Amino acid sequence: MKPAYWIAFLVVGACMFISLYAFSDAMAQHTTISQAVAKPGVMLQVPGKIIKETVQYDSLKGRLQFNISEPNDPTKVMTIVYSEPKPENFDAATSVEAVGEYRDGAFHAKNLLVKCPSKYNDDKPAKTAGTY
Amino acid sequence: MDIGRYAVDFGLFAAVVAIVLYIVSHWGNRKLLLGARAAFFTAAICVVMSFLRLMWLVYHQRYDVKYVFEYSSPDLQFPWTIAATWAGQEGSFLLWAFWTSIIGGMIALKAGKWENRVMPIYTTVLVFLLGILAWLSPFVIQTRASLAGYPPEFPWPPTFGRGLHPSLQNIWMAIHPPTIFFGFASLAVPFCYAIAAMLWREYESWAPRVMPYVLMTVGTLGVGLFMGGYWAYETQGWHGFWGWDPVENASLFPWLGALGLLHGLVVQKSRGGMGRTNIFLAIMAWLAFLWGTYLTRSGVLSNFSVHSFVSLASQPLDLIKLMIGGYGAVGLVLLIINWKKIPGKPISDSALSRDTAMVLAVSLMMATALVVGIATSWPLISRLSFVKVIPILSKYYAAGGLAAQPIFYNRLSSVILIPTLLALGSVPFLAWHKTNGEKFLSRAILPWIMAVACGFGVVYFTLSEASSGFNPEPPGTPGFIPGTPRMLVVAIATLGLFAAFSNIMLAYKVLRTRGRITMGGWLAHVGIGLLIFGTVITNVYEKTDSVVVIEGEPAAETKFGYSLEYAGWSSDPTQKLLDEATDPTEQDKLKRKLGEEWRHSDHALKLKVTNLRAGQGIVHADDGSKSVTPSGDSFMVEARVFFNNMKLADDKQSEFMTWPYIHQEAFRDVYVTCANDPKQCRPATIITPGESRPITYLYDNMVVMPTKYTVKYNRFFMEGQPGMKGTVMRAELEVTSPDGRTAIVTPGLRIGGPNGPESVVALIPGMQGAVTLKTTMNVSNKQIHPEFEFPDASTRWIIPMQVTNKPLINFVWLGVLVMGTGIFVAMIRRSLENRKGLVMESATNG
Repeated sequence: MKPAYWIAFLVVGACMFISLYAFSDAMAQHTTISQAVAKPGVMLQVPGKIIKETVQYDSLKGRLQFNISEPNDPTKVMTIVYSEPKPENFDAATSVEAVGEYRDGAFHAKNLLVKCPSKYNDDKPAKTAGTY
Repeated sequence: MDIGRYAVDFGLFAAVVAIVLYIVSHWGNRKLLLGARAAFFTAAICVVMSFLRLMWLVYHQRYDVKYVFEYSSPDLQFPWTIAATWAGQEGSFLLWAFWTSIIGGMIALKAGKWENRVMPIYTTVLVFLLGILAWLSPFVIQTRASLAGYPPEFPWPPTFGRGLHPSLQNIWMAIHPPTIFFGFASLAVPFCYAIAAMLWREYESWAPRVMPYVLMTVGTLGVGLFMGGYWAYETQGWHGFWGWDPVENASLFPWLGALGLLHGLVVQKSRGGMGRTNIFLAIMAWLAFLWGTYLTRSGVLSNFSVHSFVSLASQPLDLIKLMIGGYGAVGLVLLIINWKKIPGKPISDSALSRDTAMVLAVSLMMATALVVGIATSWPLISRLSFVKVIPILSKYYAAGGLAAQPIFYNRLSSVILIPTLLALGSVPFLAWHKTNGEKFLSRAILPWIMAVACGFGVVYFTLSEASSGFNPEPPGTPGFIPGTPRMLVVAIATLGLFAAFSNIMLAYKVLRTRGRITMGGWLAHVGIGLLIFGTVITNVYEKTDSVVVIEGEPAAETKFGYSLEYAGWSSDPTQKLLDEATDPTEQDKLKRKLGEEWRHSDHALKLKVTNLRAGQGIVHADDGSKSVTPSGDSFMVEARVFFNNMKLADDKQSEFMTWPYIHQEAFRDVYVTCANDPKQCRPATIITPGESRPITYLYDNMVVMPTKYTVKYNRFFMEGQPGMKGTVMRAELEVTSPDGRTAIVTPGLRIGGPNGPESVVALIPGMQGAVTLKTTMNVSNKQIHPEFEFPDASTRWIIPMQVTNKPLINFVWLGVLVMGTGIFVAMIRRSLENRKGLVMESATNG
């Protein structure tokens, strides 16, 4: 085999190896509230309905806190803490996908994917960037 | 049905005829070929006409057309009156078909003997697109109000549309989608040439022909990607330009595939090798784009993206699946059949040669494209049961889907970038076939020393940033390489400069000796080096802080030395409320009654920003407090705020969105954006009977700023019978002014009004003030929420702001410009070579 192929093979192989083995904590599993509570410290993605009455936003510290309930089971509730400014559209949102980990009694979200109701309504396409 | 729809149908018919005639023309005379070409041009003109027709309908505000109703509105201004044409799914498919037609016309006229080989394959793309447009037509007319969800008595056709989202009303809306769709459409060209090359067993001569098209793809997609990034940076307010979102990745991995193909083609032209790889890459780049289209348009990833997806109907989606399956099967089966027949010229035996660097470059691009493509699709793949069975992969299995987080891609790039940049910086000094080691070192040493010297500068910069009193936290979601150790960051940034320096040296040498036309590739590499340097530094060392700006108060300071002071609005955001009182039309009244009004107002919030570090503006007093002296180093910013559906001043939530203001300096951007809804707040408190509290400015029930007044809640009492209409519930409050005077007031809530409880305002005797109660009251503990107004504490705007310092971000945009220019120059060169028949390329530079 040519040295060029050896070099390419080794370099690319090393890169692939590192990305496959070292990065498992960089993947977030899509899961439910009860499973998230059972697995503290693991990066997870949890969907839930926003319980509007529980939304607290500290605009001084840029800290958002609210409870979500499982989409099909309103009795399963979890507190989400998000230490970034409130995402745009959050007030209009009904549900959310929170990415982060559960610790100390709350789910600490690194990322919030906000879901507005219009996205699921076929009659009214969402008027948000990237609909095309 | 609109006439545009007939154009689509007729175009579909003409395209099918063109395919048949092109195939038949292989056994016929030139007349058949001309007939086929005429049929193709008929189809292409039909597509162009229907595209222009949609543009005309949008421009002339034909709101009876469903698509126009959904994406345009009377308040739109040029150029969005035209750009709304591609705001929706249907329009963007039409845009894709439009470019496919234009590029097809270019091939038909330029391809010569390849015309009837390539065109029948290429025209199938147009057939698929027109098929999709036949299902998903933008020309549907809503003849009755009920079709749009309005009651039958609603005056129809409407004189309004639902309009374009404010974030789309940006100049990039007019530029970015046409650019990126041009790039996507042009990806079909190398694919079709590769298929034709295999069918006609001309495995060599397709490469030079396809090269200008590949350069066109790489240039438009590459620049288009960053246009999209700049657009997000300018409007989205999260102070980043790349977030590894599926929608962004879906454009990235086809681009990486095309980039790999480009480098493979250079090897094939110069050395004769990589013939199989190039055919494979031409197929894969096209499939990667189609796969990205499927991922972003089918809605399968809607749980994993911040972008909103409108799911396609099943028929157009089936057509996209058929494209992936059909083109993939044809391409890969042909490749397997032809594999042995494709001549493979050996490349160099020497490890230190440009051949090696090119093989490494192509491999790295393929590997990155593959990993990004797989990672983007992982929410789908991770649900498949085979993942569970394979031992290495089993931990990546999840029934609900597993999504790679931005940190995954950031780490991946930090791993991939080091060998990539080393190769990129070395390749100017590597000759084809074999390189003298000593010569290589003596040439590469100068850019290496320059880069290392700059590397020390980067270290100094990072240390001084760290010592500036602000702890540089790794940024959250956006970014390229946050979270990696500092030395790795410095190494990658420095290697980016190494690549830029060594390539600019060669570009300069080429410019002096061989004419400027051959410098394109080197110039593009300079751009990449600068781009990576800028991206790494700006995303790792950006600083963000949140402050609350209060009208009439001294400037709020960020932790990293900027202060923000309220300076008014360009237009009064409350003024729009007066429109409620003006005479509405019948349609407006009905719209309001239905709660359907989609209306927004656009206001600019003016702030005075002062750079405290630059102007020595901070004066430290003896008591430890500090004050700011006016220095010359301040500037005005205008952060834009949009209020949608804004109602009257009671606290009904109004949808709002912001556009940041970007203050551009040579070596940094100061990025200022509203972090939350600006509110007009009165001094207030939340209090239960018996308590005594200071009166403060509240924002979302949080204390923002104190006043010097206090209030005591003596007792709660009622005038009238409980539950009776007209009964007033009152609170007896004792207000104390800063100079110690007190006054008793009894504000109340009158129950039984048509809109629920009404507040009874009370004047505060002797203080020229007033107090009112918010209509929400806790019945069990009698907790109230009084709001006050005093001459020295009136209603004020309270605005949470976020300020970000983005160092060296201009290197990113400079890098993109240089890269785009380089690719454009290279494209001109390769086209000229083809025209001159210089197919056999003599030795390239080095």
